[in-house]
Amino acid sequence: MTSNDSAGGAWIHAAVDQYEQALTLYALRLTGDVERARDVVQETFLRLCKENPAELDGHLAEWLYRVCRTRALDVQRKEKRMAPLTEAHERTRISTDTDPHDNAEQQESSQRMLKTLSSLPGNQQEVIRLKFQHGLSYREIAKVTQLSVTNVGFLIHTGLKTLRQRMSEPQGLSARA
Amino acid sequence: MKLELDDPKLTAYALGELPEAERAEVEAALKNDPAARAQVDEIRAMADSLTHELAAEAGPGLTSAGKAAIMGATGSALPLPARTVALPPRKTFWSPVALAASVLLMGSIGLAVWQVNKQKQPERPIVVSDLSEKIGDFPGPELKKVEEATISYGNATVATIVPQTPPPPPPSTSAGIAPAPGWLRRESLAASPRAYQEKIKGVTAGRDLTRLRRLSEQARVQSSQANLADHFEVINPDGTSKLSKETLGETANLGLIEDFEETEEIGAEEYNQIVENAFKRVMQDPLSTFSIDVDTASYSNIRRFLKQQNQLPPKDAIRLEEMVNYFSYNYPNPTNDDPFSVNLEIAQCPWNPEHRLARVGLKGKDVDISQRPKSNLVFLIDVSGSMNDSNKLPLVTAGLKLMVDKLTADDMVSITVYAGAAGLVLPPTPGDQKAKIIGALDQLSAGGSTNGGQGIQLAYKVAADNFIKGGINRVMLCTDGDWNVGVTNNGDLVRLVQEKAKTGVFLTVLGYGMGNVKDAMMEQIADKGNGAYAFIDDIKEANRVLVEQMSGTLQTIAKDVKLQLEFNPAVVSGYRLVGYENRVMAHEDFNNDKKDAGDIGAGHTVTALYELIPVDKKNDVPLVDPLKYQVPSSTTAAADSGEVMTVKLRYKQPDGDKSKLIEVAAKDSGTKYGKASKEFKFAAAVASFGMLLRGSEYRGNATFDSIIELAAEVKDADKSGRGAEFVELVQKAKELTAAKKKK
Repeated sequence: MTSNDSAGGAWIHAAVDQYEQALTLYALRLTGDVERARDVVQETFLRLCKENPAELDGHLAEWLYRVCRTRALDVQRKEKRMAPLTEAHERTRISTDTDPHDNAEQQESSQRMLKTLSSLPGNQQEVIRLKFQHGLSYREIAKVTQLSVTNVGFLIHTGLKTLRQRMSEPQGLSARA
Repeated sequence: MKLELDDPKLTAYALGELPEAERAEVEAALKNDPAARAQVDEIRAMADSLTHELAAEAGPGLTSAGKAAIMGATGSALPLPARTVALPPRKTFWSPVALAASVLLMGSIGLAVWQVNKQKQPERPIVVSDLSEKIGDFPGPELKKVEEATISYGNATVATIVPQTPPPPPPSTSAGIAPAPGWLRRESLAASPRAYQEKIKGVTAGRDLTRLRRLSEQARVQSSQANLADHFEVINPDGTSKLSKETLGETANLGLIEDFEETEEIGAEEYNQIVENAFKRVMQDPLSTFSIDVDTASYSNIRRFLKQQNQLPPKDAIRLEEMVNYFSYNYPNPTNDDPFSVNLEIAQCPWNPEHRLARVGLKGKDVDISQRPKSNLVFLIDVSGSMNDSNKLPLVTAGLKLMVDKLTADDMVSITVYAGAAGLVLPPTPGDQKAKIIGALDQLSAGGSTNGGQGIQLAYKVAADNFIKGGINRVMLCTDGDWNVGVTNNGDLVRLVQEKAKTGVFLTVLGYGMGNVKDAMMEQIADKGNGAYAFIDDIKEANRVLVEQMSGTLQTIAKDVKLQLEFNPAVVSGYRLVGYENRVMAHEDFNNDKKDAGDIGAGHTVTALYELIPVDKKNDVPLVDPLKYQVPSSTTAAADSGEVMTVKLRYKQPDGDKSKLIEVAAKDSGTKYGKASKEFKFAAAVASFGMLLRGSEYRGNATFDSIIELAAEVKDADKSGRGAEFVELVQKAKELTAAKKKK
C-alpha cells in the first residue's frame, strides 16, 4: 500500500540512505554493470514502497538483499549472461573492482587479499562478501540466496580455508622497500 | 567431542554463528585442543582482514533522479532533504587540499597553523596555535596572534577554534624542576629546553647523578618547541568540544596554512631531552660510572631526517654513543674466557688539540651463525592505522622476511599483532616453514587505534609458553611508537617489560616511520627489557639489523655491563664522557648487581670516548669551595705509576645473577692524532659530527669540512662498509645548515 503520510516516506528515505551504497555494490557484483545495478536497486526500493513497514521490522536487510538478488538474476537471465548461482555450479567472477583507493600507495597485502578472493568460485565469493562486507548472518544469507544454513556455512568455511591457503603461498621472497 | 580442524562447525563457532547449545559444546571441546584453538584464531584473523579490506570498497550509489523516482512513488510530499552536516566521515569529506583551498578562499580567517607532518597529506591533526608574545623564550619563528576563527566548508560551519591560554609553568621545586608524573606530560611553553639547560648546569654532576638521570628521564620537552596542540580547544558545530591532541586527530583535519619561515617540524615525535655531560675535575670527581649501550637507533634516525626528509634532526634525537656504536669496528676478539675484549687507546683529540681523547672499546665474541642457540622468537607487530605508510608496515614485513629466510627448523616463530585489540596471527611455527610464516606476514594490514599494552602481554605470554631453556627467547617489537590510545599506563609497561626480562625473555625494539616516533619510550623499554633499540629507516637497515647483525641482535653474550673509570689526578686534571648521557649511573650502583645495565650481543662492538684535560693544560672547570670538615685526601703511590686511568667493568652471563669484575689500566704514550688507529679516528669523527649537529658547546674547533676530511681517509674503519655513507651524511648536513643560514 502506498504510504501517503510523511512517516511512511521517511521510512523509505531512511532505508535508501542506509542501504543505497551497500546494495548497489552487491548488485554491481551480480550484474557487472553500473547502470544495470542502479536499475535493479531502484526497482528494489520501488517494491519496498509497497510493503508494510511493520511486517518487515527486523528483516529489512534480508528482504532488501533477497529482492535485489532475485531482480538482478532476472535481469541477467533476460540478457542471457549468467546462470543462477547454485552450489554445484562454479563460474569465475568478473572482476569489476570498483576500488576507489586504487592508487600506487595501496598495500601489497590488501591487493593480494582481494585478488585472492576473486579467484574463488563465484558462490563462495558472494557468500563471503555477504558475510564480511555486508554484515549478514548465516541465517540471513541463507534467506537471501535460498540455500540452507548448512550450505552457507560450508561455503564460507571452504572459502576461508582456500583463502588462508592461497595467502600463505610464497609470492617470491624479494623484499619490498 | 573431537574437533576436526576441517570442520565447518569450527568456522561457524569462530564467527559467532553457532546456536547456543552447539556453541557451548564446541567451547568445551576447545579447552583441550590447542590446535583447534589456534585454528579459531586464524579464522578470526582472516575474518578481520577480510572485513577490513572489503570495507574499502564503495558502491556506486543511486542517481538523484533515481532517488527522486523512489520518493515520488511513496506519494509523500517530502523532498529528498540535504544531507545533514554533522562532522562527516573523514575519508570522503575532509580532503585537506579542498578544505585548505576553501579556507584560503574565505580569506577573512587569520590563522597560523602549526604544520604537523610535512611529508604526507596529514593524517595527523593540524594544530592551531595561540601565538601570544609570551612564547618569546623560544628562539623560534615569528608567530602571529590568532583570533577566534571559524572554519567553514560550503555553508556549514565546521569548527570553531578558540584559543586558550597555555597552562602556567609548573611550580619550581628546590631542584628547579618539577617532578613529572608520567610519560606523556607536556611542559608549558614557557619552560624551554634552554631554561632546563641553565638550571641543570648548576648541579654538580658528581654529587647528584641520580637526580640528573631522573631529570633527563622526566623532562619530556618536545624538541618541536612544544606541542601546541595541548592548549587548544576545537568546538564542533554540535557544541561538543575536543581538547587533546589524540582526539583532534580523529576529527579535525583542518587544512594547512604555513606561516613561518623556519620551524622544526617533526610532528608528534617525542624525544627525551639530553643534557650533555660536562667536564669534571678529577680531584673533585675522580670516578665516572655508566652503563653500556648497544642501541643504534639514533644514527639511523638521523639518517632518516637528513636523507628522507631533508631536514636537520632535532637536537634531542642525537645520541652520540648510538652514532658511534652504529659502526662495526675491527676490534680484536676476546682471547680469554671473558665474553668480550677490552681495548684502550689514548691519542690527541682532533677537535681540541690540547686535549687527549681516550677510547674504551669492547668487542663481544663472535658466534658463528650456525652455532646460534635455538631461538624462540615472537614478532609483536603494531598494525594500527598509523602503520599504513610505505615506510612502516610494508617495511616491517619486508625486513622480517629477510630474517625468516635465515631461520632453521630449530627456531620457533610466532607472530602477534596489536591494534585496537591484540591477536595471535601465527601460532608458534618452526623456522623452516618459511612459506607459512611469510604467508602470515603478508596477511597483515593496518587499521584501528593502538593499544600496545595488551599486545605486549600477549607476546610475552606466547614467548613464555614456548620458552627454550638455554636458548634465545625474544620478543621483537615492530612499531612506529604510536601508543596514543591513552589507556596504556606507560610506567606499568616499563615494569612489565623489566619483569619479563628477569624471566629470560628479552625484548628488541624496532622503530619505524617518521612524524610519530616515540623515541624516548622505545629506548626506555628496550633498555629495561634487556634488549636493544634500532630504528629501521629503509630495507638496507632492516638487513643490517636483522640479517647482518642477526647474531648480535638475537644473542646476548653478556648482561648488565657497567663501566667505572677512575682517573689519576697526577696525569689528568679533567675529563668529559662523550655521550651516554642517559646511561650515567650512581657510583655505588657499579657494585650493585641488582641494578640493571646494558647488554652486549654476539659480535657487537661498544665504544666510549672520554675527552681528557692533561694536568699541565688549562682547566676551566668550576671549583667547589674547600671543605670545612675534611682535608683533601692525598694521592697514593699508584698515582705515580703514570697511568692515566683504570677501567673497571662488571658483567653477568646472560642467564647469571652474579657479576664478574674486569680491571684494566691505561697509560698515555703521547700518541699524536696522526698515529692513532683508524678506528679511533673514525669514532672521533662520528662523535664530532654528533656534537656539531647538536651545536654542542664541547665541539671544539670541528667543522663539517674538517670532519669530512678526517672521516674520508678512514672510512674503511667500518667493517660493514657504511663509512662512505657517513661521509655523505656529513656533507648533507653541511648543505642543510648552509641553506638554513641563508634564509
